[in-house]
Amino acid sequence: MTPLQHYLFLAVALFSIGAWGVLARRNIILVIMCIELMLNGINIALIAFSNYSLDGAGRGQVFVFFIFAVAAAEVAIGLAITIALYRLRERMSVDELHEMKG
Amino acid sequence: MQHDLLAIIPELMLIATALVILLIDPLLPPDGRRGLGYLGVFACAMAGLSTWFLRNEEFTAFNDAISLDRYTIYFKALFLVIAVIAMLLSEKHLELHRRLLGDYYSLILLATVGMMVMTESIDIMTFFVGLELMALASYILAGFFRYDELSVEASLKYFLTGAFASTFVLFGLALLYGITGYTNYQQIGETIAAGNVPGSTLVIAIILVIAGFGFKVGAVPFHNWAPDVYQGSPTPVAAFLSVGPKAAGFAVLIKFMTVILGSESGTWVGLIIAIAIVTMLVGATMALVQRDLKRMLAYSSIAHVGYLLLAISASGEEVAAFASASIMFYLAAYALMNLGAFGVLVYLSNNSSFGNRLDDLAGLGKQFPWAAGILTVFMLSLAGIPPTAGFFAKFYLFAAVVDAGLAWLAMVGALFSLVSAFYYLRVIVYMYMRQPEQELERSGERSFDLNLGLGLAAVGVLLLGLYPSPVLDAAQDALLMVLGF
Repeated sequence: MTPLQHYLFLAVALFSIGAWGVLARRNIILVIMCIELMLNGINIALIAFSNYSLDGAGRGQVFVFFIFAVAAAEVAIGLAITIALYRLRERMSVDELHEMKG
Repeated sequence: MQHDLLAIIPELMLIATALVILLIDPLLPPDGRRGLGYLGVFACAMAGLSTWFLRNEEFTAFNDAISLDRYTIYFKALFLVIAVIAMLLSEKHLELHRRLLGDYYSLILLATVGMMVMTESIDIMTFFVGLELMALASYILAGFFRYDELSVEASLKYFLTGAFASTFVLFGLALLYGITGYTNYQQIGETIAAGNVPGSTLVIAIILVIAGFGFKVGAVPFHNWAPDVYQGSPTPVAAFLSVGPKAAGFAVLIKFMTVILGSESGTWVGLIIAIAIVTMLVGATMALVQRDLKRMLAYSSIAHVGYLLLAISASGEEVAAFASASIMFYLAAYALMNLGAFGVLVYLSNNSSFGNRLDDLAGLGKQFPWAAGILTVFMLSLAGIPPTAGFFAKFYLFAAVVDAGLAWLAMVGALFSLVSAFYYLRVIVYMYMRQPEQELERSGERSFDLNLGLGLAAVGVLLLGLYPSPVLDAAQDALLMVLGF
């Protein structure tokens, strides 16, 4: 059986790549995708924990379903707000968010 | 089974009303939409009534997903008051911006449900769903004026930082589940206290969770979104966002720190103290240089988060009950005074060419004596001057910190509180002692709702200042029953 560490390594790798993308990417759609990547890293960690942990209730797997549902809602709202911005500025870059400072 | 539904009657009422509002909104003529706000207020009143009837119940429901007890009842009542005042402040403002839609009230109600679920959850899954319900509704609310560039920008900033922060909380929670094998607060706490969990993973989990909460409540160094979001979003929404999610965040933070991580206080107290000091420093100094009142209130609310975090660090010590009770009282006082302060800004921008700038305040004492007077009350309260709620709130908070043996920390807090008095009193000085370069143009849009909302907040602030014991007793009662202090 694959040891737990391997799954966790994958999970942390996905989470970190996602986090790097959120900070480095300028396109808002890509930023939202990177947030999804982070969530998927967490999902892998949860499923792995659920499989290897001593409790047989599979709570981690149930948790993943909640995260799926919430992530879907989050993307829907994020894209809606992005479209609202696009209609006003005809651009979709994080650099557009500069009206307020201080 | 029947018991389970009993625990969430207030939430069910609010959800049902939110859906009914969405359904009937398209059927109404444009000027018939005003009634929807009253429907929302009525739903909150009914929900408040049902929490009153449930006040002596104490049980867990839905397979230990949520618990009903005095602690949750206290916070549910607070959230309902916040929602009612926020809805009362909104109506005229939305109408003047041609955005008086039923969606707005639905979103406020759903965000309130999210806060309630967060607070009553005793399971990390339920907590996460509540957190996201609140957060998703507030992202949309921030961008509710979607033809206004600032509002959309505020909304997007709030969304991106908020969603990013959520993933950190979630990763921390996943690690807690991984090392203990449980999702229930109590069981996680017991497993950690038993001591056979890998220490380094636990520390990472604690740091991730604290960072995530730091984002949500707006603590330095995760505060950057707050000023932009408050400045850009519609003023009544800023009022709601500056108090609701914060109160909910602290309600959960108290539970987290005592129930889950109570045995590990040695690990996190130092971290929280460091964050608290930096938060107060940045909040107080940045508020000094702001010329925009909404930004100033944003930084002032960051400073208030710093004071609250002081008390959280005190709750790692032996006097946890007093510290937590002082946080609960502070949140109630803070909610009323901050809603009120933003509410006066709503009033002024409805009635005149007021542009939320500090200079616009000049001569207001003569031109709008009532609004100026009431804003004075809120500013005195925010500064912590008797006989207002803010004074007792700060007094109890710092007393709790001193009792925890952290007197030097209370001194630091008092010092920053002194700095903050400067920018609150400056508002009053501008209103009464400065001559305006040109008077504001009046546009004479009166609104009974807005006046009622402001009146409620002002009376609440004065009442809590003159007679704080009922609320403080309720908070202490709540803690006695729940967290087993």
